[in-house]
Amino acid sequence: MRVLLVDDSRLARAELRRLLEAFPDIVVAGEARNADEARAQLAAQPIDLLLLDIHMPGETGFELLASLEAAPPVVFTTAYDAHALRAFEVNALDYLLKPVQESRLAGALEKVRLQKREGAGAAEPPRPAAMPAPLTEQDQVFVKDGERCWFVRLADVRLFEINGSYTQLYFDQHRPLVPRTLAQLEARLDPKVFFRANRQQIINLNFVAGVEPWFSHSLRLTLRGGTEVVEISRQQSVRFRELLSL
Amino acid sequence: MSLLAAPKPGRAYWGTQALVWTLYGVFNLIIFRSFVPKTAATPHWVFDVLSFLVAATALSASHVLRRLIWRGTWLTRPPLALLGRLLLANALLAVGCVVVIGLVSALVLPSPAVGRGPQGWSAQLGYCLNLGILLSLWAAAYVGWHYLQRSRQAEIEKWRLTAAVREAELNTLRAQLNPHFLFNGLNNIRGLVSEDPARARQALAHLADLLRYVMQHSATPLVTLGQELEIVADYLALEALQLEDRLHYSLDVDPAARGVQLPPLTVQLLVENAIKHGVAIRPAGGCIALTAQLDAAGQLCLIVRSPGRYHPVAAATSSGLGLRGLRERLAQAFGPAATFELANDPAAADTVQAVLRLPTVGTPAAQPTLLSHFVLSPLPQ
Repeated sequence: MRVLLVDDSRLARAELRRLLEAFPDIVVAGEARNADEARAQLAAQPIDLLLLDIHMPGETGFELLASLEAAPPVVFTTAYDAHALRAFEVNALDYLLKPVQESRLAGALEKVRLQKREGAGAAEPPRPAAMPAPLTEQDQVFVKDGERCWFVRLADVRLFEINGSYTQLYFDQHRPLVPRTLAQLEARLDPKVFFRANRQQIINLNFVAGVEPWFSHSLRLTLRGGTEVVEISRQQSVRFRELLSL
Repeated sequence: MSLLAAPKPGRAYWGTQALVWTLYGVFNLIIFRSFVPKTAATPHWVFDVLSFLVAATALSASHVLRRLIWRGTWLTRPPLALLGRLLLANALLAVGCVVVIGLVSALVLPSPAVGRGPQGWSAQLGYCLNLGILLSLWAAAYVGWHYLQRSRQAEIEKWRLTAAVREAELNTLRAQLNPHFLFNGLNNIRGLVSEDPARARQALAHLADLLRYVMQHSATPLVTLGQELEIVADYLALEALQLEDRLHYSLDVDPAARGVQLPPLTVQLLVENAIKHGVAIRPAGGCIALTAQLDAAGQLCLIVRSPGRYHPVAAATSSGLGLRGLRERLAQAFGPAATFELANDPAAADTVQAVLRLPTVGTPAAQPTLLSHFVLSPLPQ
């Protein structure tokens, strides 16, 4: 498992490195002192786990995650932010309090391994060489809405909707905003699962519960788990029919 | 709830009043029936009515007395003043009662009833005395009850205040010991243990000195600048472990200024703020410069410079708490003689300066602070 250490204190990173030596399956792939360095490292190499400090100069750990298209699995390391981490609603992996106890670290790593094994059931699509891989259902995004935070698997998002220059995600009963346009998201989402229904909305095809014909060759969909009704534009209806008949 | 506010007469008050005065009426009735001979010319029902007329009048008088007590905030007055007022009011009310009773009975009751009882001025005086004593008993019960309530409230208040003081003391301790600083420091020292054991040992000593200072002096009103600078040095050494080459600092202190007295952790707070807002948030770090001099007038002028721009509005919401505490402690120790200002340095770009001016001549005797009596309990060494 390739781990990236993100902490502004060199001594703290060195200490984590030493602690991780006890785990033969862990490779420390790199270190970063702040959010910018972390982003560069994440772009440069595949990372399986982020050990992330929350308080850093410039952007905080939360801000770093919110800026990422897809957040890798994260274990937070912090001196005194346990209260901030309790804000997590869904799917937070774990957090470690510094100075870190070996047994707590072992527990956190075991959790990550477990989750990776569960996620591995869904086969990864072969990546085209030149393009960055599209975001699959198994990818998760980090969403911060005021005080609340979520790691959301894209598979759990049923609807993406334009909201100004932001996009609103619909999952469970939550609908937080992410700071990206719908067009940006559409370019990165797996088109086999995520379908542009109209100018305002992208739907997750796995959530379609019912289809009915609507005016002038358009279609109207209902989605599982929500009350939203989505209308597929006439132009897109043709593509939708094609997709379903495949 | 203020103790002085007049309570609205509640059900308990009216219930008690009704009970007491009904009993009094019944008591009168029994007395009349027992002692007025059956052969008297006046029919018995006249005495029955009279009994309850007296009781009703006395009830009204006691209610008037209650209003007087609350209107005039008599319960807050010294005992003698209260007693005087009660006696005077009772005398007047008793006379009033006798007049009312006399008028009503003259108007309503058949005249022989009035004629039967003892008559004349001395008799009327007797009635007045009688009612006065009755009202005094009532006042004694009423005031006594409220005094009792009040002393119990005061007792509760006292304990609540003690608890609040203890909590405030704990909070100062917690606020002075920034947990982020403490746990990051411990983590860094742990890292040093394997990397540079000699420095790790030094760092532990710095941390120990700093913790001891915070515990010992969280309730001490004043320390010398020299003492304070020693722990500022400890503090900077520990921050340097976290920030390493991102932190640069210089201390330039006039030796004559080291004896100046100031509240503990004052300079430490200024340095901590400077690092927090000027250095820690910048990926490239920055430089903290501390200077302390005595000016011609013998005033201490202590300046902490750090990178950044000061925004009063933003500061009012975020970092204001620590600095407000600082201003309060300065005001408590020196009154208006001490000043503290946080502003952009007019002489240098991108520099914030915190300027602290303290009087040195005739440093006033340490004012007893809210927490000072806790100094008496010795801290474990």
